[in-house]
Amino acid sequence: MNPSVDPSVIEDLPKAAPVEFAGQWVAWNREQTEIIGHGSTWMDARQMAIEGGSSDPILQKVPRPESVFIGARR
Amino acid sequence: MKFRYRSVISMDSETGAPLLLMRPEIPFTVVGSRGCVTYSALVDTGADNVVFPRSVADQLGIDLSPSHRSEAVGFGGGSVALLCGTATLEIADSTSVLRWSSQVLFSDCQPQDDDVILLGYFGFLEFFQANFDGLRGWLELIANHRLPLDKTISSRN
Repeated sequence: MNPSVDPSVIEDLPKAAPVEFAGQWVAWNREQTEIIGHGSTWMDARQMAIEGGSSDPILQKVPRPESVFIGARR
Repeated sequence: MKFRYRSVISMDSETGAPLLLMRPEIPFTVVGSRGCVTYSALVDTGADNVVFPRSVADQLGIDLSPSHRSEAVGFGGGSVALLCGTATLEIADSTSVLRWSSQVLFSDCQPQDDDVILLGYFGFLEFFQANFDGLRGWLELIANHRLPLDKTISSRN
């Protein structure tokens, strides 16, 4: 990995979701240190987290590495 | 309130090599009649509105109506149909909580097709002074007097 920013800054940020989750929704624990659910919709990811005992996850849509967000959709 | 940027894995446009980027995504909670959910939402100074996927309104019991601004247009001219609803919104850090109600737009498209969550001007940025520290990956939000608080700033400790 070639960080575009100071590695010491990156180390202190909430972790990036691994590429295997690209295009999916993931559920992070409240500390944003661990992925506790995932799925093709946010409801799926949340349900997995709830079934694992976490009722209040933070849900993130993981971007695909090859896509660039520029405000456009479609 | 201060929030860390989120790191995301991207790809170098020229070489295709893996690249870590930072984005000003913050935990953002939407409250409806059937519960609340927290998302990692992108603070976007170029967006006019707060925008969520329609599934959020459907699942949380937020009533929707046709928006007078019937579609969202982004770079390249593509458009997405929009619906309008009023939601209770919340941000929190380790010491305090801010909760208010605002009109929110919901993108009416197929699930997985356009799952964007944006915190734009109306309903969010209009209520804050936002300081983006792109070097260190911090976003500082300072509420202004226009924030229509439902819940007073409170300590979590």
